[in-house]
Amino acid sequence: MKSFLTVLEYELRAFLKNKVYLISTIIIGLIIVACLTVPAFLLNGSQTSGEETSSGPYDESTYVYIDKTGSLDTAMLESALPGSSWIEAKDEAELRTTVEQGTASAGLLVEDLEHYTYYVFNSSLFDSTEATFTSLLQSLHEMQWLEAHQIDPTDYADLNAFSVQATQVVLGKDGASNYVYTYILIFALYMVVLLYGQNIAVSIASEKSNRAIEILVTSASHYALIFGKVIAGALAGIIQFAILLALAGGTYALMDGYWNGALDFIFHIPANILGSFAIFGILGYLLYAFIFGMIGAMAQKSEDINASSTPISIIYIVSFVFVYMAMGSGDEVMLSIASYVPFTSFMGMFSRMAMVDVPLIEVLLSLVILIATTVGVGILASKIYRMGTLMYGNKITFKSMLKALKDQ
Amino acid sequence: MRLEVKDLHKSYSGNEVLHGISFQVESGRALGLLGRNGAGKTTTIRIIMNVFNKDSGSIEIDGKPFHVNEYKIGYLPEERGLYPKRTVMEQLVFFGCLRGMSKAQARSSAKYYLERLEIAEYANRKLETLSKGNQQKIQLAQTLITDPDLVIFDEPFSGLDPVNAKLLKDLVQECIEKGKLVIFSSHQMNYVEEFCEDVVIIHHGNIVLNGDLQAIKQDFGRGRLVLSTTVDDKIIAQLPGVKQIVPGKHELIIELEQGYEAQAFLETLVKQRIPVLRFGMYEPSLTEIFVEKAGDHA
Repeated sequence: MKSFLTVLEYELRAFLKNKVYLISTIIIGLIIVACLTVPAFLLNGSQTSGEETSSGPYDESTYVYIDKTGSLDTAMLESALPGSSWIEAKDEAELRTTVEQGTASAGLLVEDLEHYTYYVFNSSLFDSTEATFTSLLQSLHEMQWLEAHQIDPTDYADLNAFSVQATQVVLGKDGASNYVYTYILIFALYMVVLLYGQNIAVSIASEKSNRAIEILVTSASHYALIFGKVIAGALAGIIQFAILLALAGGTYALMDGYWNGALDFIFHIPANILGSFAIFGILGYLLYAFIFGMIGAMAQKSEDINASSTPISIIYIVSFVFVYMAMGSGDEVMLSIASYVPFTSFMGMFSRMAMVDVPLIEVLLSLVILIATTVGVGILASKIYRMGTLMYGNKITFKSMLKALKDQ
Repeated sequence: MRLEVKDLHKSYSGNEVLHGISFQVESGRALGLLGRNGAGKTTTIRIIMNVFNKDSGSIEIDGKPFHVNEYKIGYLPEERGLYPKRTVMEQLVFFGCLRGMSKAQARSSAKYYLERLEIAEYANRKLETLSKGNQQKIQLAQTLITDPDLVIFDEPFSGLDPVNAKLLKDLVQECIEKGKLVIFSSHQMNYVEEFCEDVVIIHHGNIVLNGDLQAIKQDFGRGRLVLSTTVDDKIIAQLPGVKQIVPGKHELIIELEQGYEAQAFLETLVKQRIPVLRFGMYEPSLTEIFVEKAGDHA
């Protein structure tokens, strides 16, 4: 036990003093704070000065148009898009030139009220002019139709204003609103396992390449060494995750007045879901950390880790996608399968708990399977760690490793 | 204390690499464990260190089964390795604690050895910033940090200049004088001859030589004489009793005929007024013995 604690402390200290760890924690923390602060100020700013800024993004925008229907005129367009100015072109060539030279930010060639061509010099993802103009033509078309059918536009507006109000009472789990935070949690877990798994594998492989391993395995039991190393990696990940979670929660609490509870559905996660996330998440993390440890022990040098870890990374990504799809489709059979198979249950079970009611016995059964698998893989990893790290030179395959374990 | 290795057998994938290795090492008498590359030395050491399991055989200490975790062991492996990116003190304390010391004890012992090895100023430096020789000294400090009962040195002098080699020699000698069990594996025979009273030579997984080094040398001398003189070799070759002479750099190695005594030969030299600068029994070097026992023609 003393050896285990010694290894744990030594390895944890290495993780916590690692520059990449410190810098990534600071950068991700700053991004979280920025994401929770800046939009809140922007939202608040747009709410308080709504009257002044209601003209939107069209301020000082100039457009050029050709109207073949005769239904439009410059005054109407300027009134429809407040703050904009409009130029009428004689033909399509003039319209194009005006846009190309930058005299107008966009051009519109209206064939009839159902068809028009939109000209823009550089298309932008955030350009809403086209949508606004479509809406304008739609309104003109509606007005003309109402007039032709002698219907009072006010009556039509009243009819459209009618809406049915529904109140939902969720007796089980509110899968729809739980979806977002569940997705965030499994995605965070996915990232943590991939990042720290790689770190653990590299750390073990480098002990092999710098030959420290021979002294290690003759100084302490291989169980103490690999369990200490893997759990140190797990703790480093948990510490980083907890810091970022606390930072996000704290920032949101401080900015709550600005957000007006808009993100409560993410931050007000039920305690039982957080608890199951912690238990299943940590066990799953350890399970994959041991597997990455095996990969590290089988690699000849740390540069080999990327190639060696590809198969397990693919298994892990497939597991993540499977759980994600099961969550998205709400397919209870898929979720049930994902919540029992140990390679997916650490994500699958708490996702399932967030989406539907799960009997306690099923949760415990899944937990027992996951614990047994993690311990089993941990023991196998520790044996491979000792053997693999002493096999220098030749390429080590899983088959040759099992053979060496038999020979040992 | 006496460590006895008895009839060790070890196979890898059906291929036996140790075919019954037996030897013993006693406190205060260092054992030189010799052999060519791949002979089985490291496998034997790893079995003693419980890194590998043996197929059969036993290891005993004072007649009782030897369990590696019940003793303080210092191991300087042939494959050197520590953590290049950690500080010297940090990793020495780590290895000390890993072998059962408290942090304070490990720190104090690390300080002692760093001072003793004249590298105390590097305590807070990262290992990778040190020269190869100083890194080798750190390895030695980690080997001795627990004041071990059994010390295994596998090629301890590689990478050391003569001044640092002297520091290491003093430490090895100190271990022997303190009555520790010392196993010394090296290809540098001069060091083995200097430290070891007993030697074991392993060849292709078999013990081909085992025993007191001095007795082995006498036995390998096979009654040959060494003579240093000013007269021509041909005159010596014609003296009565001389079977064969082998000219050396500064002396002749003389093999006498069966039954002809060294004393009688000396009297002949005196009678014939042949100047004698040096006369004695021939003692082969360990290198000669090693080549004979583990060379290509062995």
